[in-house]
Amino acid sequence: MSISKPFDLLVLGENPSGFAAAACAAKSGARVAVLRGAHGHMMAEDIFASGIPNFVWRRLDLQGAGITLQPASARISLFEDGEIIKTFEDTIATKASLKKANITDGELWQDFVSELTEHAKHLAQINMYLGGGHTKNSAVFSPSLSELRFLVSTCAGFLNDYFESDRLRTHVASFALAPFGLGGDEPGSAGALSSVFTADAWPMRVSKGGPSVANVLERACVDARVTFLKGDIKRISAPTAKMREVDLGVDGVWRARVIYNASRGAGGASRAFIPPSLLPLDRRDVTEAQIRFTLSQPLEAPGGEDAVYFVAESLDEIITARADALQGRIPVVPPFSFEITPGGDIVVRAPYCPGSLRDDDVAREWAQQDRQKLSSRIMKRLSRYLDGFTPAVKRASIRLNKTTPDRDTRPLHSLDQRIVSAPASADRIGAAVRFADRLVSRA
Amino acid sequence: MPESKNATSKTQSRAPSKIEAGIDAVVVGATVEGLAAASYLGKAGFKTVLLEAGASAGAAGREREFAPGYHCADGEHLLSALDPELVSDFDLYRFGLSFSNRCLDTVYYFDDGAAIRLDGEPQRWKQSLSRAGCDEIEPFGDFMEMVLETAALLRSHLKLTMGRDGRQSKFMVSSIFSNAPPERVALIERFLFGSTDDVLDGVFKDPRLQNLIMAESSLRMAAAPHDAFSFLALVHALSGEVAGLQGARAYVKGGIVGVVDALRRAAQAKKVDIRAAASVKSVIVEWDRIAGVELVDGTQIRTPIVVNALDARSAFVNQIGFEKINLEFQHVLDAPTPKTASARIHFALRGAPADQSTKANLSRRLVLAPSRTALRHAYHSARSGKVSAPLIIEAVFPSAFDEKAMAAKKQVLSIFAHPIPYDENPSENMRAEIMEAAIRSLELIMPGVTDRIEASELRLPADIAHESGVDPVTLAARPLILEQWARAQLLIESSGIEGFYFCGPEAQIGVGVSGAAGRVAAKAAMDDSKSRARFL
Amino acid sequence: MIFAAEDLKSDNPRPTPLFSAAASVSKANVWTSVNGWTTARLYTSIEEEYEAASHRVAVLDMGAIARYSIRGKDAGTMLSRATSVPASSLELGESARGLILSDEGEVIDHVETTNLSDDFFLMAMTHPHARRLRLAARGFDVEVKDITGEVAIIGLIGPDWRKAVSAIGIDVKSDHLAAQGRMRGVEIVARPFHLGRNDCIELIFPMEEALTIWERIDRSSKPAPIGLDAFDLLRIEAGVPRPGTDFISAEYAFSDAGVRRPAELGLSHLAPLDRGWFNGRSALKHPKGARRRAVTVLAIDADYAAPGAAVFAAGKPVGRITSSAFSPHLKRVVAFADLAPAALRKTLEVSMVSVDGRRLAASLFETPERLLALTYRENLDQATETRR
Repeated sequence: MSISKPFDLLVLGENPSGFAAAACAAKSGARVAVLRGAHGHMMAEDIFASGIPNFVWRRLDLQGAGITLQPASARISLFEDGEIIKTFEDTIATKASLKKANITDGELWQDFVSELTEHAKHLAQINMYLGGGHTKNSAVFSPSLSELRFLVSTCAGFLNDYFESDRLRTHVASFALAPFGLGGDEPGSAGALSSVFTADAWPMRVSKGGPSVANVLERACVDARVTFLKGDIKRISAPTAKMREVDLGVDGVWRARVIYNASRGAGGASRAFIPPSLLPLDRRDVTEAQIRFTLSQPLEAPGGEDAVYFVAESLDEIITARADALQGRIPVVPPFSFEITPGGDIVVRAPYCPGSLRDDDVAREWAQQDRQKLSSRIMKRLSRYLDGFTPAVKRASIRLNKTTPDRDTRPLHSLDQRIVSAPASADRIGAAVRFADRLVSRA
Repeated sequence: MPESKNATSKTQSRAPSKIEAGIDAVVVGATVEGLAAASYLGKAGFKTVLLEAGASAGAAGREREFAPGYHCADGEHLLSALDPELVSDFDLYRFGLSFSNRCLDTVYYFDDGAAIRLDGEPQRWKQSLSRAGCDEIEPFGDFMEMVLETAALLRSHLKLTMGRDGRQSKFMVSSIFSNAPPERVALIERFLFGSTDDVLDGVFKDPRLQNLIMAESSLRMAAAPHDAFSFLALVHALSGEVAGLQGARAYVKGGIVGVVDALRRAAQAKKVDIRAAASVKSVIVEWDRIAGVELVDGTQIRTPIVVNALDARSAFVNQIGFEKINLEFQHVLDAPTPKTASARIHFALRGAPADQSTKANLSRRLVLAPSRTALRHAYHSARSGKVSAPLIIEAVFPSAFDEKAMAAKKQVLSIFAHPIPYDENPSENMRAEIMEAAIRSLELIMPGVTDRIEASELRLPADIAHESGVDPVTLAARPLILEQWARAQLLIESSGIEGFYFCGPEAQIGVGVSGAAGRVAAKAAMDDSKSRARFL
Repeated sequence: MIFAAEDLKSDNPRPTPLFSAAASVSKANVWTSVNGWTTARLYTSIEEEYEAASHRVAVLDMGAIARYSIRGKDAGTMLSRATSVPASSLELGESARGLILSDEGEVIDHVETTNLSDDFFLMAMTHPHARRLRLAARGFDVEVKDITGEVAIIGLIGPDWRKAVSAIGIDVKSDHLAAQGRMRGVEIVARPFHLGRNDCIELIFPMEEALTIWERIDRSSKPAPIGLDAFDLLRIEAGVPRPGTDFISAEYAFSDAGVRRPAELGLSHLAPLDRGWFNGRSALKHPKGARRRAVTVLAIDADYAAPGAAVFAAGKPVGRITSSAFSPHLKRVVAFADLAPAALRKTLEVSMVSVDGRRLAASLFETPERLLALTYRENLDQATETRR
């Protein structure tokens, strides 16, 4: 089989951040390809996406793409006893909402957000600095001692220090940690908090009937002459020091200078403050499951249809779920978030799922019955928070966020700066594009 | 007038029973760090008083008879990072410091019964592996060489310093990288920030070698191998030097007691006035300057310099008080308590167990390295308050270095079992579970050892804390190295109280006895005193 | 006591307790958000409002200033620690201005504290600092409560404030001690304060009575309402630099740039080293390095304000304007400038577009705050000499 001219960048991950990264890199003159899975599983990121940062919008000239994005109205945590915790993009509105819910910690919300916003600036600086840029980069990065302590600290410790209300802590952990598959008691998880409070991290909703973010960005890829490949990775190898080769079996062999996993990995790739380029590919310790429940009749959501909902009773529950996942078990009480699509479907994301399951220390892949088990656990749980949910469910379809090759098919020495994952950030598109820019300029 | 008087005025309003003046410096706590600080101050000609709450200096490290005829001391049994400057500045050998063994070999045991012996000298690890018939000698040897080199490179960045410019120190990541060879930068980045799991990914395939490294990087640390930043623990441990050998572990004659005794003699030789049974009630701060200390018996000692070797909570909150310390500094005092700890267990054994790998040579360090999954499970259990086996075990035979015990055919085995749940008031049930898990793990190293146990003694952090009065938190598992370093640095440089120097357990980085914090505190006190003299 | 800068993102500011009263007298109807509270920028015109505050009396809704009540046995001690105000030595009813400093002695905010009883203090600050106060309260027997929005606060600015206050039947005997009184069974605290040369008083009372009391004052003495713009002019003339505008608050500051020590802001007298222990004092005692910047007020020969304009000394750029306003009284622009300290001794110019394209002359402006600072410095020098 002949090998074509190598790509500058091969993007794995058929999702908005992957498309945006590919389109922007191609627009700046690089030869870029996006690899679609053979079975073409598009993740359901098209309901609520992180916003498209202004700089990406400008570079791809999206004003003509016919897309309108509405910010989600609120982040809402539901509790079994009926209590609701609502936070908003606006800190002042959040303070008022928490006060109404009789959470005195609400007074601290503004300080909390201000402090984290400052930390986010540090983290952004660090992420620019780490990951190979520093040898040429003259920017001096040296965190102060208290900054360093924050960066290595745990989210649970930080939250405990700030808030007395366990429910508020749980709420924050639900939306800040879940997307990263973190539990909150692991070192470095405090960093995940900060990116959630950056400007472009608030979840956005596409207006009904309009094109999805993924579609718009995919079209931008086509316009920028990004090549689309199809197939499943069988093997990645390194024929030369500056070249990586991806074997897609019957779908051919392709070469690229950099392989960039832009998929929203829920595992190792998302640990904040870990040099992203040093995480070869998603470790798949923890992965995310998405379940779409098609309903026979629309249900009334307790806080409106355009909010993002979170279900977790306590911080301990989140920590336990992650511990279960890390040990290869499906969490007994899985925390999750859900959203309501414009069509009235409910899409659940369960971020604490094992990458591979383990029985008696032997790893195995997810089987149909495991998927069913998870799906029924979530359905049972959700019915306790949404009245009339179970009878309304017509169909449930489950997907696991698995886009990376298995451990054995990777190159042996993982210290490979040419096979890299997207940095962890709640501003997924922005972070993916910035990082792709750097990869291309480095190559 | 509202009541607003601070601790100072309170103590002044009540006539002290006795006021002692003319003292240049007071050191609180006769720990290794306290003794080191006092020795330096004494050497520089400061009239120094060392106050120890216990009955005698260094009592915490005294040897005890834990079972009839069997002796053991708490505290560290092996040294890996005794401050070389301290040793040479006082020539501690002159004061009785002597090594029974300068570099112990380590034998690693695995769940499957296999064992690997690594030479005590890191330079000879490759050779010892080839003797063990291991497949991946080259990658392992190369990898460990890189770790050792990086450790040496990072040593100067992760030690304590007293910045004299008064600004908070910074973690000079950029200077680490700019001083490193360019091809090594990515690796150092990984070593600094990565989890042990991340670092080991793809380096070598042999699970035993991976388990070995995971055990070494997690032993006595709160961070599990899958936690970010956890690999640095191993790098740091290998940056230490004892008896001039980087990465080695030595047994001092008499154990920790030997170190304390040598330092005490050094301090006495430098005319330090060591007073036992002198418990400090409060440190007198006038405005934001140290003015002296007040003892529980009411005696006041006026002094411009106080070096405190007690834990941070006693030093800052109990003895100085919230109203005198900086606001943001409070964050430094609060640190989340690690949920895990190590158990120290002494066993009295009938005769020496022998197996193929130790060949009855007991002057070795024995380590049980559980599998990745077992270790992950052990950490999760410990963090949720449960005990699971197998645990990481580090075992030595103190009796192997003490001829008397050998002659009597008696052996004392001392182990650290890790990780167990950290509990300030462990129940009897919990104690039994810990003991059982430890013995089950120990059986994997020495099959049949259970039958030889004549007596045993479980020493949990809570026990030692209860007896010696130290904050038990300081005896829990050690946090991440980066966190320890940042906190230690903040504790020593930003309390905002002039004349106060801290060298308590929180100022130590990594596991083991060092003395560096005491040296740094004393040097800072001497420098400040010099610059003040110049100013006047 | 000054207002924070306008919120950059003022999505949905909440109405202060006095909002509807203020709205009913607003002719200009120019509103903005300060700390999340709706606040009037302009009621009539800056000249009119300024004139009233200078010569008669102007009324101001002070609801956007952050307020806390501190109760408990250790309230004084805790405040003396968290701020440079010597709270525990304040007389009953006495107020004092001070600063909140970081551990490193850098300014976080202005604070004004009033002693209402042995275990009850009121605090007013430019920005809310809930987290900091909670930290400061650790280990003390105090209860810190955010009362912003729960109380209505009317400010009366100008020489005629006594007449207005007498309308609600409160007898304020002293011009520096707060008085407490009752009207229709509601407790009112009347607290005199100063903003530069302006004598002022603020009336603090439960929000339920907001409208009644505003109306009563309005009926009796017809004070002109004054908005943020005119008040800001008073602030600059008084010489009070604003955190977030004239310097960066040291709370959560990302970098050292823009963060200032009291001396750099000309506010050493608000954090005097002989005041006993307060947070940041030890860092101030041993200042690290030379004075880095001087934030000071300039009078510029210009007809309109120009925030951000560059300042030149002997032809070289030495800093920039941070906030400015046209003073109808001086017929000049008064402006805060962040300068290199050495520039203060030189002839200053500001680059603004003028008719002939030249830079405009600027000179140091003696503010009351600056005079206080100078007096403090002289006293300090005398004290040192005596000691010698």
